[in-house]
Amino acid sequence: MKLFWFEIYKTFSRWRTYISFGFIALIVILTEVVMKLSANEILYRMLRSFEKDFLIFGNVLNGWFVTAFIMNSLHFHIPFLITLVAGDIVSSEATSGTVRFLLMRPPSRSRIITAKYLTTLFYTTGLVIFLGLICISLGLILFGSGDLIMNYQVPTIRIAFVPEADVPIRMLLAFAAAVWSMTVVASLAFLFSTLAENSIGPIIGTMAIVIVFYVVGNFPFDFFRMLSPYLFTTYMVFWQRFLDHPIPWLEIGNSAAVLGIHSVCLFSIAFAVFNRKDIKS
Amino acid sequence: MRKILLFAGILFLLSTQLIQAQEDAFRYLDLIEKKYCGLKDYTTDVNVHFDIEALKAPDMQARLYFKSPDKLKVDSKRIFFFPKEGGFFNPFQFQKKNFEARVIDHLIYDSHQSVRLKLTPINTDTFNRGSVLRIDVERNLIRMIKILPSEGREIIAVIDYGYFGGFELPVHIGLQLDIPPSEAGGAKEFQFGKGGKRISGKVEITYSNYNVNSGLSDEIFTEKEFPGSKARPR
Amino acid sequence: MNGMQQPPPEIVLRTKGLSKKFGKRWAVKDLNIEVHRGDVFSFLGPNGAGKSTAIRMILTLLRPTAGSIEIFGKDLQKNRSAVLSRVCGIVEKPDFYLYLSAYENLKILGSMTRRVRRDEITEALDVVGLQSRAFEKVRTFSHGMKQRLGIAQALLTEPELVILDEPTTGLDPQGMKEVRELIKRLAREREMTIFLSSHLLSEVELVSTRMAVINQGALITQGNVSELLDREAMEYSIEVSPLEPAVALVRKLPWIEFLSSENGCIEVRIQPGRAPELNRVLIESDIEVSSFYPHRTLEDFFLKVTKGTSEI
Repeated sequence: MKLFWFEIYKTFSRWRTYISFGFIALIVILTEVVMKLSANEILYRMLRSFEKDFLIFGNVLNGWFVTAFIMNSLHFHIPFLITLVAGDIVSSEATSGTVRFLLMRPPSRSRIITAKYLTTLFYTTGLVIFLGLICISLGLILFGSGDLIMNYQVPTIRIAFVPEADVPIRMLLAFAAAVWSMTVVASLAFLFSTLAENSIGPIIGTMAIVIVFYVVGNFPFDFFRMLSPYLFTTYMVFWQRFLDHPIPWLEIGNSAAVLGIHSVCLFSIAFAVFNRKDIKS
Repeated sequence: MRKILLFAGILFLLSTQLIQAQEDAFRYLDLIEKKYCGLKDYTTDVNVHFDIEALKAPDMQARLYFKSPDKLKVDSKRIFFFPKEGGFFNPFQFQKKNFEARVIDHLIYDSHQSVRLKLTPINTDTFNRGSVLRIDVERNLIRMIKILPSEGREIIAVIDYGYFGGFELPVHIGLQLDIPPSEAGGAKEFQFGKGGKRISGKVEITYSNYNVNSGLSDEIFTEKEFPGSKARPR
Repeated sequence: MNGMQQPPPEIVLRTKGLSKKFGKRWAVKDLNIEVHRGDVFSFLGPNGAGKSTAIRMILTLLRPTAGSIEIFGKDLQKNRSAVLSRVCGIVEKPDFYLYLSAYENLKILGSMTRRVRRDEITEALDVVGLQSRAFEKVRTFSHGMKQRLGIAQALLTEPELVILDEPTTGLDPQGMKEVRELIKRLAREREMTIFLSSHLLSEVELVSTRMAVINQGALITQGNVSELLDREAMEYSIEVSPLEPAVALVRKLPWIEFLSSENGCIEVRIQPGRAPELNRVLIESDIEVSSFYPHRTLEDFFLKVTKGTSEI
């Protein structure tokens, strides 16, 4: 535990760590203010498939919807912010030369790498939770509360309706799922950080993989659709399913398992590499 | 010459029959309007149950306010979807000035003498559509409204009535919807999925706790919420 | 005569057949060295000889290809944590977390070995003269200050064995002297065993008690510094008058190797024990001897052994 707290201390002693939180706060504030100003346009776009045939009453554009909207649109921002720390946490020790000091100490390499990985997960969780808190709190202040309407495109165009009383727990589960998803990105960046001796490579490498996988997985061609189940990015949006009605538990479980296996495998590789690595620099 | 006269005679007979048919059609609607002429206003609790694949929602509840001839307000603490067509009862909605009507046929429906009328709107807009009404002529009640297919839309509403405050008012309206998928909402992601499925299914609307002719003031209806209005953001 | 024998010295560090291969190249091959308790043990070799590789294996930064390492009598691989808690190392230049202060760095690094108190940290900083900069970020430190901070972190956990790889690299003469004095103090006052590598032979000669010489990954020789140096014939400069008779005399003696003469000075090579004899012979031959001093240096020894010309 001591090692873990030292890693936390080191990570949060760097101002770079706080860039991520500041960036998120900025994006969320900007987005929600713009949404407030463009409320009618958003509602029209969102509900036009139903407005021809239904009268719609109530606070549709509420804080919960805004939160879900923002979460849904940050496919790349959040992974990038996560890689800033995850891709740096091991490689920065090599860059600065402190890896020698670290590995000459009594704690084993296994404990050191595990402490660093737990720190990465801690940061990832903190970042996603921060996103959630700021989205929800600002959203509820600006837009109020209400039932949540979620607009789905896949597999068919449909609307799911979550009663207001159920929304908080669903959101909690959704954010937990989002943390679980981002753990894979963090694990991938962490692995690259273990292999590299600078931070740029892991950050760029991780983002390249996330972007390519995401784009490939969404191409409308049969060949890419065939690949899609094998790409972890396909499962990263499973948090949305907690806001569906009814909740598809089987699909959620399947996605969580796939992502969990990815995280475990990536960390296992990083663990093995770090334990056997010769420190020549 | 004889042929011309014969042709003209047939046309005259058809037109008089048409005029007669139209006059007969509105006679049924006038009877209904007369039946409800004493209905000034009503309020009722509404429960809407959706059985539509494209709309996964629990039952929705609201309080509905109606004041003749055409004022409507829906009061709901929560989000509430209400079908525009066939969803609420307004006995004064089929005005002669807005429609052309003719009798299609006479039939027995639910053990009652009934008549089917075809209404064609004079001015086309999103509210007034071509529709077929099935009217129970014994009780002067509209039992079914079928919105004719237009832009791929077809809606059938079957209405059951109960007695409230001296009037027969709906207790249940069963809607059968079959409408095209239309454009998606404001999503930014790729739309190359399996979208495009028609929105079809049933909507069951149940009315209860009527309060008839309670003297609703016009102030309650300050916001016009007829079809075409948008949901209000906070 | 004293019948009681001295107990054998405690071996603090022992390598047996220690080897490391990078690809097809052996960086260290079959290294067998012993470091005794209380030694200031120097590890010498030309550039690329394998010194740093050997030290990194001892400090578990590199995984040996073959062989074993024992520290305090325990196998390092099997007792890593217990062993390293009594060892401290500085490899090349000491690097710290630049975004943390000196105090914070010592707190983190020290606490990875054992619980360290605030007063212990401040005392360690005081010993190396960094007390006034304790709470400043290390990025503001000069190279010499970082070196001192490195020694402070070595002192902090009170190790029994201190391993230093090129500890005076990049330091000015004053810095070198400070480090040299500190090494001596660590050995003398705190009874620490010091294992250091350096290519500054003059510095090593001034502090070391025992040494090993490595070249091309293989051990050339090891032992007590003075014993190793005394085995070798030494060069002397002798200021004499008159010069020519002295030269003629020296050339005649078979146990003297005449090297050169100029400016009233002759250079000869003799066994160290025979220096008094040469002095007496010159005086008895009515030759005045103004000065008689040796050129015995570690550098000479080092260059000789690494060229493979010494008969050890």
